[in-house]
Amino acid sequence: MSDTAVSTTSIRGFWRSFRRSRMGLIGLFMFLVVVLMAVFAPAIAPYDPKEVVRVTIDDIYAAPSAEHWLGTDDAGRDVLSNFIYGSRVSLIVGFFASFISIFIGSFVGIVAGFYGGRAENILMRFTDIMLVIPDLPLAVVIVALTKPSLWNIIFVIGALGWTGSARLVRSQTLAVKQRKFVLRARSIGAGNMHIIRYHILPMVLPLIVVNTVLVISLAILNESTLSFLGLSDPTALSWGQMLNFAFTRGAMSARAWWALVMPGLGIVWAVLACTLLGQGLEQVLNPRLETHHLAVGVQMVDRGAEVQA
Amino acid sequence: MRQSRYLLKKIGWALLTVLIVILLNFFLFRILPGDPARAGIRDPRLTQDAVAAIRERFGLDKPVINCFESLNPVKFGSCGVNPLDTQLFIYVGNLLQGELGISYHTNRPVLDMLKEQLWNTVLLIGAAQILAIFFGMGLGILAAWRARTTIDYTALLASLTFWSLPTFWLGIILLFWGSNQFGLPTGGKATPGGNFATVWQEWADVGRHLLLPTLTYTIVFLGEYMLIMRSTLLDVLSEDYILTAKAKGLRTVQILKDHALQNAMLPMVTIIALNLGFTVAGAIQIETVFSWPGLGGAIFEAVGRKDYPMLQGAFLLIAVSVIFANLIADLLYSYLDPRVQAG
Amino acid sequence: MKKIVLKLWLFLWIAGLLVACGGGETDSADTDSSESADTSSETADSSDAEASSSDEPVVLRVGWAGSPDTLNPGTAVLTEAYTIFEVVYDSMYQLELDGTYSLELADSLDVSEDGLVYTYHIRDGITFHDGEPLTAEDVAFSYNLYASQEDFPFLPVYTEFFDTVEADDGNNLIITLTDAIPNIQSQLIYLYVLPEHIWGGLEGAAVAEFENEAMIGSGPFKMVEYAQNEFVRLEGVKDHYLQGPTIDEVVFQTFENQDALVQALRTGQVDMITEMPNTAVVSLRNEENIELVSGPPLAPSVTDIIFNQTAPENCPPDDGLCTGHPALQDRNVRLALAHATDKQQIIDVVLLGLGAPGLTLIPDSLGVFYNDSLEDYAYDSTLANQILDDAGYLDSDGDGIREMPDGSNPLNLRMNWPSDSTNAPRMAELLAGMWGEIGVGTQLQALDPDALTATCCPTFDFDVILWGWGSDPDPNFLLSVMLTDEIPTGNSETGYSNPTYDALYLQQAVELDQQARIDTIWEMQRIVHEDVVYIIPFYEQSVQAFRTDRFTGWQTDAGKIALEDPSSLLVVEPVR
Repeated sequence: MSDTAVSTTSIRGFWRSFRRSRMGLIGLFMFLVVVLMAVFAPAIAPYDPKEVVRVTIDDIYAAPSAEHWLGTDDAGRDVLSNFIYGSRVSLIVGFFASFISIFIGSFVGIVAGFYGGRAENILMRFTDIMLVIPDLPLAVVIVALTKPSLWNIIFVIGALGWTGSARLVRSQTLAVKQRKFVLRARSIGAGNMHIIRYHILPMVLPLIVVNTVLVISLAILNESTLSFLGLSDPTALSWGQMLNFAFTRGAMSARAWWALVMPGLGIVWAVLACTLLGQGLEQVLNPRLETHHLAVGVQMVDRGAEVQA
Repeated sequence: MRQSRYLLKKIGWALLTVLIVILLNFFLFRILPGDPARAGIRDPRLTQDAVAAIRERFGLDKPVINCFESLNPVKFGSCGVNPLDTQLFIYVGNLLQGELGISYHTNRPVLDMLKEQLWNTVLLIGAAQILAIFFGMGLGILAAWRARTTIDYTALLASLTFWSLPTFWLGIILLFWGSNQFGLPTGGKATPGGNFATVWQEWADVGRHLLLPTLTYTIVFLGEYMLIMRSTLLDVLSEDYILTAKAKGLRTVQILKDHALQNAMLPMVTIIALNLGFTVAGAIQIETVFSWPGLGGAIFEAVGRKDYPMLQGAFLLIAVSVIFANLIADLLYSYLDPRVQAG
Repeated sequence: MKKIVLKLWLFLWIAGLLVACGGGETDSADTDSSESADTSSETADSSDAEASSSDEPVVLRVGWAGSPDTLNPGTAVLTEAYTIFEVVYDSMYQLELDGTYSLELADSLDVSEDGLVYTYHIRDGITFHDGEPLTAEDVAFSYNLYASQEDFPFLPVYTEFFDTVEADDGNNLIITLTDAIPNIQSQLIYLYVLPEHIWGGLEGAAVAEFENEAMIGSGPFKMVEYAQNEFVRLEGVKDHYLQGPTIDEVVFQTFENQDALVQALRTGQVDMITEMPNTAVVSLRNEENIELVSGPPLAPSVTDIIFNQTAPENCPPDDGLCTGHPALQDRNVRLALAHATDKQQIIDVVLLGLGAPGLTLIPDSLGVFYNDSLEDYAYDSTLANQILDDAGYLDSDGDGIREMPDGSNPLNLRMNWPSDSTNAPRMAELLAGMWGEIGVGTQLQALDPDALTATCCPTFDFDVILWGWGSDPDPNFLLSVMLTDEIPTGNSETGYSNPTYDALYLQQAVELDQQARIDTIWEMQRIVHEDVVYIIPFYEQSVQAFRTDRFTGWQTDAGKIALEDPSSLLVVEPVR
């Protein structure tokens, strides 16, 4: 929004300002925990969820014990191991779906913002219509009628989640387009593609990065909702899918709270991590006043100055 | 002059959007694979003659549109087909007469079903949204006022956590907690055929049924309103006129009340209007968990049953509501802040 | 200012929704189309209003996870609708819990020598709920309506063999058949008798779209109030001509999720639940004041593992793709898979033990028709491996998956199931593990039921499907599924074809001697079992529960379990 939007060109400078955001740091820490859990799942998890095991009736929804710290699920499998492996699927969906969303959103936003005129009119009208049709019911319809596979879920979530990004990127592009260096570049005869590539994109990119992190959290939430509604691929055990099994196969009736609580907490953890991280990044890349004229106890400070609250 | 032109333009856009939504809606359910005539029904008693009869009764034997053979020659008719005898024409014609068709699943008019369900959803969402807006804004004001204090951080973290909760998951947990601890009902809108001495008792019964779903809904939506209120107010409070007001010696509460909030309300109105569409996503989850007989639960059931007329009707209703709410928000916005029209 | 904005906005928002909602009519589901139904519901309401503690109506509350799709008996699909029909309407026969039939509307029956003419004498003095008399004319009208309405999707099957249906002056109903059939009882039980004075005025599409909210019937309960997807409220007809219920009212309430349903029973919101997740059984057993019952269901159903064994010459010429794995056409492969399937393990994990190992497509709940003399293929993966080795299916490239005897086409089977099934995904996982042990690979993919129908039949674009059938009390329909003639119609999901079987089917369809018919049906099951057409993993039990501190008299040991059946609803009484 303001001219100081990108004051952090070097990684070190970036980190120095990011460090100041406590929320961002907490978010980063929580995010790293999930990513590490997903990457090292085979090393951490006590059991392999795909392994063929023979179970008896007593193994089904067995309470937490020494062998199964978090009990077992409706198929007699270790909830902790499922939970650890589940982070993989949930993150894969989160990452890929948000990449799709961000790609479409950035494309639409930059084209609309930069070219303006009829292109903008058509694209933004289309965006408005997508905003008007409620995402979830539409996703439910599309997923229900295609094969419930992980990639379809990713595609649907990605293809429906770009509208917010498009609007954001467009307004940022509009702002950047009017800036002096862009006008200067144009006056010396730079082509549209050149301006987009070398002037618009670098200025819009920080916003896109922040937005990506936030869209990941939305994608993870959406995946869990679609899984809960029974529309996801039951062979890809995400946290949402664990909840679906717990829900459709009577975990609460069996008083097996462990099968329901853990995956839910996992989703909250991952979503919260992305949201906090996004907030932290936003403070660095697009700093705004976090205090004001009526603030209590804190002096009015300048942007970028150290704040020890 | 300018005012009325702006008004006309906005209304024009809204109508155009409705039209496009109607067309999208129509084609979405016809491009998707599957034969609705036998969807969900797997029964050796269902003969091919019976399937043909169902198709005929719902007009599915007619081509979708004429002069469009590229996709599927059976579903889409050639130019030789009378355009008046296509599904598109019949659908739009019925729509103009206020008819949304007959549900495949219940054989009832979709309009009748929507009427029953909408009222229930409005009751649930209305109550929850009012609470969420009230508490969300209150918390947001508090957090912004006390920016960068423990109160602010606590409120912020709480709101972000609320926002991160999967709606259905929170619903299930509250359902069991509420019914175990307080004996609250686990589903439904009211005790069917209950014996109530007074109207008040009857309302109290509805209230008891409403409590848990409303609580779930409020918690999930509260976070978002808090975050928006906080950041908007932070922007406003950094404006110079606040400093001026402070210099004039006005009390903090008064500045908040008379200067800051008034300006911060404008973006809130837009957000609330935009949110109407998203509330439906919440309604699907909450109504499924709490067996609330509303629009969300009906949409979910209609998906499972491939009840396209019902889905078409529900989508149209939601889209029109959102467009209408946005239009109202736009107009209000321009009325309150005349600068908007210039932009 | 800001307050005004907020208030104004809320007002507009709510007003906008109300406008969209039309008249703002809140409840159009109340009975209002019939005068007498109106007065009866009014009296019920007024008695509710002044109900004193001594005189409160006895209301039984039933919780279930479904809801009738429609109250029109001609177009209803769901079993919930039939449960309501069963208590509000009467038909010619009542199916008892032990599987026998007793006359309901008629008090005597006379069958002609050749088995073609059935003369039922309808009981005198029967009235509909609105006070109008029910005579043989109404029965004849109803049967003729079912026979002639092409918009009723299922019912034409039951009137298939009707030549003429007439009423005479002596309150007799005379049905003349085109062929002598052995199972007229099961043909008539779902043909509910409707009042001609209400349905007679409807024509064309109006018949199928008739909402029938007043639902005037002649059964032991009458409709008071109906709200779709919410509840059905019925009032007992105390002076019913056969037996009136002791309770005053029964309310069926819908819970969209089964956990909430179980919880409603626990907290006493409902007195009985018609279904529950099997996982609830252990914790409910320990609950005070709750009794659990399980057993074969009244409405028989069967779960099957379907092999696509369509031979190329039987592939339907119009719709068939017939991409099934060629190995599945070999009985040896199907036999090996049957030996590799541990049914008890599936029952334990999927049903928590609440089921019996399956044998043939005719489930045990069909009573005498179920051939329990067959010996099942024992779970023995060594034997299964041996069978495949001997038949030449070897793992020639050492990847753990066997190939066809000529070394091509590894035995990788696509396994599909309907995505709305809660049991199938777990069963698929288990099967993948078990079949993996004999070198058969699987690719698991859930499909929307509609998409599954499209891949299944008559396209035959699959290898293995986990699915199932619901059945009439008569085995005729289930037996027809394996006929060669049903391959192009989409009813046959295996593509199985056996002329001997086809001939036996025709024979049993007209065999009037009950025992001879049973023998034929047993022989048919033996053939199908021998050919390993399906693997039937289990026969699922129905699990229901009721509160012992509310009502007593539930019929729990009459063979089959159906607490929502009139057999229980008519006799339960409140605990004093």
